[in-house]
Amino acid sequence: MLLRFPDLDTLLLTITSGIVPFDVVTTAAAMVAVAEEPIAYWVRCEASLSAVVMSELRSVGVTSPATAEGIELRSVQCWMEGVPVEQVGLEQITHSDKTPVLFRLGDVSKLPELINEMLRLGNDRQAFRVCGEEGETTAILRVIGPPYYTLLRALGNDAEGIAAFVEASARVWVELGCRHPLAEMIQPAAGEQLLIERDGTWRSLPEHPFRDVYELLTFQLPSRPSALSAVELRERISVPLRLMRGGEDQPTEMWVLTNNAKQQVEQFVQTTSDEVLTRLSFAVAVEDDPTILIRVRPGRSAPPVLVFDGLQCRPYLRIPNLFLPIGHRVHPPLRRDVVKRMLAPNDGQVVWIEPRSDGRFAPRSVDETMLRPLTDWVDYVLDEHHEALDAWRQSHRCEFDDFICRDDQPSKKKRSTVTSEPTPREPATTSATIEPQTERKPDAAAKERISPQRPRPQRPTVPHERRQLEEKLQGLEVAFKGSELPLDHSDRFDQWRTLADLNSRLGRLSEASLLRLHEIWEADGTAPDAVVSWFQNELEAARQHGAMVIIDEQEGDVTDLSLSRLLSVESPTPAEVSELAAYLTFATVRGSTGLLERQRGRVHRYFLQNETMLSSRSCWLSWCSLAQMSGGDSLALARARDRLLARLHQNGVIRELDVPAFLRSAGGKGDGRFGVVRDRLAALHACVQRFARRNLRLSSQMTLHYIDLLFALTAARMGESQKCRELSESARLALCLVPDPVHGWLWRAFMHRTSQAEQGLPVDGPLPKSFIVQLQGLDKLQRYKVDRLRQHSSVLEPHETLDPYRDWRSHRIGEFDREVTGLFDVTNRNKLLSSLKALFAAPLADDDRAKLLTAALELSPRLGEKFAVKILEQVVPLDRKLKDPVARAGLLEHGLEMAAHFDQREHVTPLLDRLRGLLHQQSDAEIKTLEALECVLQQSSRGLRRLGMRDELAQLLEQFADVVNPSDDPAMIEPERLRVMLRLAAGWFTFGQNRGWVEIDQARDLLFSGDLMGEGHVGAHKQTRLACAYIAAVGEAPLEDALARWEEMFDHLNGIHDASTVNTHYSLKLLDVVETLVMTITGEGFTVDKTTQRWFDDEEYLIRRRIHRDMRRMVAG
Amino acid sequence: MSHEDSTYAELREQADELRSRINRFRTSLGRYFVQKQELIDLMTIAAVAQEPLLLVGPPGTAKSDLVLKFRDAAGIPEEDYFEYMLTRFTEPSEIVGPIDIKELRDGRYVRREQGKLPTARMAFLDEIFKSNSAILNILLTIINERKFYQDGKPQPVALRVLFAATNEVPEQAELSALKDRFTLKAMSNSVQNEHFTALIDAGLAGEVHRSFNQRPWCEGHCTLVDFVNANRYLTQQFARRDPARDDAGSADRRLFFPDPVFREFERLVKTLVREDRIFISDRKLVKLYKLLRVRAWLLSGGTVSHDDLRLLTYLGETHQEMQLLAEKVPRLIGIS
Repeated sequence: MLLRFPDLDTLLLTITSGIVPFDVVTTAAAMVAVAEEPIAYWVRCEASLSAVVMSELRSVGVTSPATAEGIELRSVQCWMEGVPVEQVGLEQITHSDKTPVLFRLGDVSKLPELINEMLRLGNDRQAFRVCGEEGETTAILRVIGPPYYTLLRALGNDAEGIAAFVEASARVWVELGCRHPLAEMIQPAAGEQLLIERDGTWRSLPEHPFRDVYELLTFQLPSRPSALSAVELRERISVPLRLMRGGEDQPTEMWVLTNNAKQQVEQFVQTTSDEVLTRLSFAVAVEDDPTILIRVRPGRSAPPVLVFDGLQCRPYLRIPNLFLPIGHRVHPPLRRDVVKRMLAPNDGQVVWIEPRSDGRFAPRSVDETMLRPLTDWVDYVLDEHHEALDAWRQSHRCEFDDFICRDDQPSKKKRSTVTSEPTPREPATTSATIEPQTERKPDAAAKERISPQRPRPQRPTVPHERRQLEEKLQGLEVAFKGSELPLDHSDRFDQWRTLADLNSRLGRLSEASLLRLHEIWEADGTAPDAVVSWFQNELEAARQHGAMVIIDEQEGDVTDLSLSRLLSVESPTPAEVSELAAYLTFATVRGSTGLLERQRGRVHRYFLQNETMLSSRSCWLSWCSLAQMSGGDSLALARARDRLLARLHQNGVIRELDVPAFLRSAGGKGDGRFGVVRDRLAALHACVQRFARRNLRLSSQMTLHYIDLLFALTAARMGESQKCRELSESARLALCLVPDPVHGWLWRAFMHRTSQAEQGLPVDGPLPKSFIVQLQGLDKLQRYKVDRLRQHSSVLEPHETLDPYRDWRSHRIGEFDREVTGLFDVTNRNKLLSSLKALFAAPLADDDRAKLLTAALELSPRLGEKFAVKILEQVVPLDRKLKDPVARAGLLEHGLEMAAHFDQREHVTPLLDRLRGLLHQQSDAEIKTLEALECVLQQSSRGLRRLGMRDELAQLLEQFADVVNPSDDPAMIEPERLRVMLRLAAGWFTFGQNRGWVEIDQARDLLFSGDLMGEGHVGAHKQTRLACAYIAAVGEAPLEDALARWEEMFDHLNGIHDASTVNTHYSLKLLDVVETLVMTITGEGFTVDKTTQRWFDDEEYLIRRRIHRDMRRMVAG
Repeated sequence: MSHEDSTYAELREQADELRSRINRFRTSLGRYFVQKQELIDLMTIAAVAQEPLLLVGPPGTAKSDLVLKFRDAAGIPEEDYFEYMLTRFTEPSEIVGPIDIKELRDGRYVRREQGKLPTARMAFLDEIFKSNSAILNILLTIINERKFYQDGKPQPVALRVLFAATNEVPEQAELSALKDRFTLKAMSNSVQNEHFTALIDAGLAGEVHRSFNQRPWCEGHCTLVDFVNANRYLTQQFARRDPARDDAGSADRRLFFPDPVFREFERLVKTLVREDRIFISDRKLVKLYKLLRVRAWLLSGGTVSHDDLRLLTYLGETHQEMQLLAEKVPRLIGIS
């Protein structure tokens, strides 16, 4: 039967819809596509179709022609084979690395090439088979995910004779680049696979296993006798070390002198400055001929260049005790640890390599302790010594008893002990025989029982000997101060010890104790021998001062009774407290704290009450010992830490307690400064009074008496008690005889501070509570007048800034601002903490949160480190959100100050970064911002110095300088900008640089020109602020310059007029100016020179550093 | 007779000698460098094909030295050579000459091109991608059309050989046109890891030569005229017709590009385009064919071989592509 299907769609429909019965479709037939329009399909099938089928076929357009003349039909296995395949574009071909592909190769010889190409391209998932087909062989290669490069062989080019097939349905493979419409419906016969080719040809492929290209993965070789077998070397290979050329560019740091060594050194010291000598240490090693080693001591500057006839050496591989000749290195190159192990295993020995011929060498060494400062061995002598004078002194020498100065001790009150039988103090001449520890001894020695039978320290008995010791001490002190090494450098350790020994021998016990404490402080550990010496010094000092001694003289050691007796003293002297502090540390080091543990509670209370008498170091060591004794009481230690830090925050280091006497004035000039200031004080006072009278105008005459009070305070700080009393009394007569509570209250407040100064106490801390209570009893206006001065005066309120308008503005300001302002009036710590927590818990706008955070930072010293750290963590994230530069400056300023205070170094860097960022944005800052920046500069300067971050401070100053860089015309500089520039000038002076005179002169010209006076009240305000900044900046300049400038300023300065409400009682502006002067004179930086100030800064930094380090260790367990 | 006027027959007679001279030139020049023979070959191929070549590589990898020695060895006189390091601030007058003020007074906008790029027969432009857009436009025209506009009128340039160098290949789209002009871009890499000793020795020898003002690489094997003649000879080959057929291209391909190699070339291009998204413009493809032919002629004197396909290694437009192709092309064609 012949059928004609009008198009492909009809043919497919009749097949898939079952119009043509299945058994007909699946039987062999003959088909052809005839190129008509559209293409028609002719089918000749053997089976006859029923009438129903034919009817249905006709209904879809299929006709049944009688003949197919001229049409050649092709035999097919089934009708589906006659359906043509569709060509697919190259870009539509998709395949992945998991697509199985069958390659059919007509030419079997191409199989290896194809396989290897794919192997080369990284595909080894290949298997193949070769099948015969009517005498011809065909290779079938099955590949999972073949490379596209190989697939292209089979696409569109018959020349290769390669066809690729992808699986359209199970066992049905259609040639790549083609698609068969019914492929997914075709099911090949069992055991066969069907390949549908591009031209529509169907090939059946009997299923047969494929052979993997890696059928054999391992190739086991037959065993053969091995020609080589492993043997152990009988002897290790020895490699002799040799010296080779190398390292010529390094400076010489050690010289080994063998030829005329002594003469060379003598000649050297006779022609070399002592500054160079202090950089050198030397040792004499005696063999046949003396060999002298001269080594450069570590320092910041480069080693000095010296000319010696000897072996020049340099440290090798940064091993500090190994020296190689200059221009040589060890060959073969070895690891540093290997070199150290072989050549300089003992850290206590200095090893140098002596070259021999042929690169051979010999290590030589001396004991490290043999190296002593070269200056120790050099005595500068006068040919004509003071012999005649000595003889005269000798003949007229009067032998007085030792004089003990008690001026620096609190006035002795009547003391009582709780013991029923008070024990008399041991006389100063008691036979205490504790030997000073002049040499470092092993730990075991420290645990020796301290025996009163030990000999007394070897004191010089003849004046000549004493003079020699004093000269030596003086020389060492000069060398100490002349050295550029930081205070915590390892070389300093020995210097502290030597200085302490000498002071001890000279009977300067308090100084010796202080030096011992430095030795202990900088030791990595507790330095047992130094602790023993410290305790011995304190014992002897107690005896010398007639204080109670902790050692029971009969027992020869500390007993329960002697300890109890000491603890029972109600008002102990500083010597007694120091003695107990030293004993506490000593006992802890010795491991014999039994006595103390039995009275632990009393000891704890004792130190709590009396710790202010101790130096910061002594105090901290005591608390550390107590904490250790209590099994690691970190809480008590943390509280002690907070108290000590608060003390440092308020006062810095207390010079008399914390700093050795010889460091309090560098080069002996400091005392001179103090004397000059004291001598000029009266003249300055008169000058200031003239200035005040000239500028009073409408302000109260009482201002002059407040100025007297300020100078009384200055006199008290200078030790001019007579002058102080005179000024205070004259002020009292003027201020207290008028029935005005404002004057009365302020006089009392000033006198409280003066009294602090007279007693040698820091002028610091909050005013007594009774004063505040009394103040709250005043009416609103009176209180305002008091508060206004409190707000301005850093004498009255040294730390916290209060808002005098808070009562007035209470109805205008919001609840939040009121609460924040009120925080400063809260004196109870817990209450303050809970108030702050409540405020932080409330949702706040960024600006409000900044205010709160700033206030919290300001209050942090009262609330401890934990609180401060939490607050600090919020500073940077909040700063990122703030836009107002003034708020940002305030926040960062307080953040830096607190980070410095609590040693939160990790916060300092981001805060500095933020600050730098802020500065960077302020190239044309407004006046308000400049004022805020001035504050930042002032605070950050102090904070960074305390953290030992002088470099960062210098960078900050430079950046500030860039930001406030004025316009070209000096006349155009605003006074506010000039103030910041003055602050910068002061900063430069701090660094010893005279870069600020231009700014100072500009400010002077502006102040004296009277230009600002034309602006009325605003001008007066600007004039006042500029004058204050001028005074402060000049105060950092050399002393004589500063005094001359001040006197000049007070002689010529006008326009400081106060028209504010408070001028009925005082001129706030005049007092601002005078107080700035007073604070500058009495401030930490004026009476000491810059070098000494730097010692103080370093001392404070080192104290803080160890406190924080010990605390961290304690917390870490 | 000017080389430009030589007939095909004349050139065919000289061809072997020409080829031999150029080959001596390239192998001889290679002796003065360490592991740079591949680059010298490329430079020679580019010179014969008169296609620009871009050398890419970090500073100190002999890019400039290659060009300078190439120029010396080819005996190119000063007046025929132009070299310039381009920067963002380079002005067109520095490349194509300043405006002639006299002419300008007469209302003509003419540049004094003498000694500048338009009159040079060989040029070396260092840091070419750092130039600004004004320079880029001029370069595009000169490279592509071999033309230069004087007073709005195009005039041909003498440029035959152009080498350019850059430390980095920028990826800005604005530069893609210029990048596409350089069909070949070759990396000049440091060789100190693999050839430490040889590098020191060669470097030292170079220092000595420089100090004593010696130029031993000027051996006179060939001249720029030879490159031009070779180019002309090959161009005339491309232009030959097969009397039996009427398409010029197919004649050359049939004669000099065997089918299997051509099919592989096609596969290679398609694979790189599809798998690695390598951009090969139609222009570049045609030029690539020409370069393959030149390489085949130069190195083997005959038909394009499987090995010549390694030229596709230098099609990369970026550092990543260059590195990828350097690894992939040899692997695909199985010559790694």
